[in-house]
Amino acid sequence: MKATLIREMDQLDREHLDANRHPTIRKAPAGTVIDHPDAFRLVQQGVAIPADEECQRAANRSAQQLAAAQYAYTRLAAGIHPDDYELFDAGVITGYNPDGTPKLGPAAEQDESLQTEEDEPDDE
Amino acid sequence: MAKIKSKGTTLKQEIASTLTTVAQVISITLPECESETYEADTLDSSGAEISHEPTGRSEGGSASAELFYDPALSGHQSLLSLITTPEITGWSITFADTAASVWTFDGAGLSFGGTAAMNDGLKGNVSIKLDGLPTFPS
Repeated sequence: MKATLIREMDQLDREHLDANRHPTIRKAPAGTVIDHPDAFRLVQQGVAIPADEECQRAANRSAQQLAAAQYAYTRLAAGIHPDDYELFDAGVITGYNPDGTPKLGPAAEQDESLQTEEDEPDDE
Repeated sequence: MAKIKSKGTTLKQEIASTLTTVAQVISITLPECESETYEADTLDSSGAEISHEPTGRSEGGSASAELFYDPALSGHQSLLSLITTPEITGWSITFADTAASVWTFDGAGLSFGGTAAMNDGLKGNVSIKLDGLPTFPS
């Protein structure tokens, strides 16, 4: 069963071990074909599209469902906490900085919840 | 030196040889790794201290996560497939630091439970028993 990745994904490289005999991480670029009995799971999760009929059948998803899954994975990959899904969906945030502050999206200026006191107009 | 925020940390499960992010995770508990020791005290030792020595072995422990459980979600079904079809599975935890540091490890076993409570969303708890030790950032 084959699926084609639509985004770069990490894989554990079990053929190239590090000094402690642990698998290393390699990047699998978009376009990589995954041939695996569970490849349909990648399609269902929104990171791949079916590359053969068997995978298409096993994934059992409509085009609309696949589009929704692909969008949801974009949110996942950004590490968005469930509490912030609405902000991400609205384009207010796109992720987080290492200090925990949100990376602002195109709709951030319209969102009052992210306005700080410094943003308030100065009356003086 | 920095204090790293937890928001943005991701847990990934190896599915079809590919590390995919587990959805709707609320919190992650890192594996409680431990270097094994034995009590090395002797009858003729002086003082009140109890001495210990390393055995030279280390235990990977278990990692766990709490999530909002969605039974229809493919990724959550993949978690439960490790109950019905146990197998060694790769996992990673990617931190929200500037370097996007990663711990990777193999899981030998998985337990899954959850809570359906009146005043909360449906939650699941996943615990992963490590096979060996994680690979730490170096």
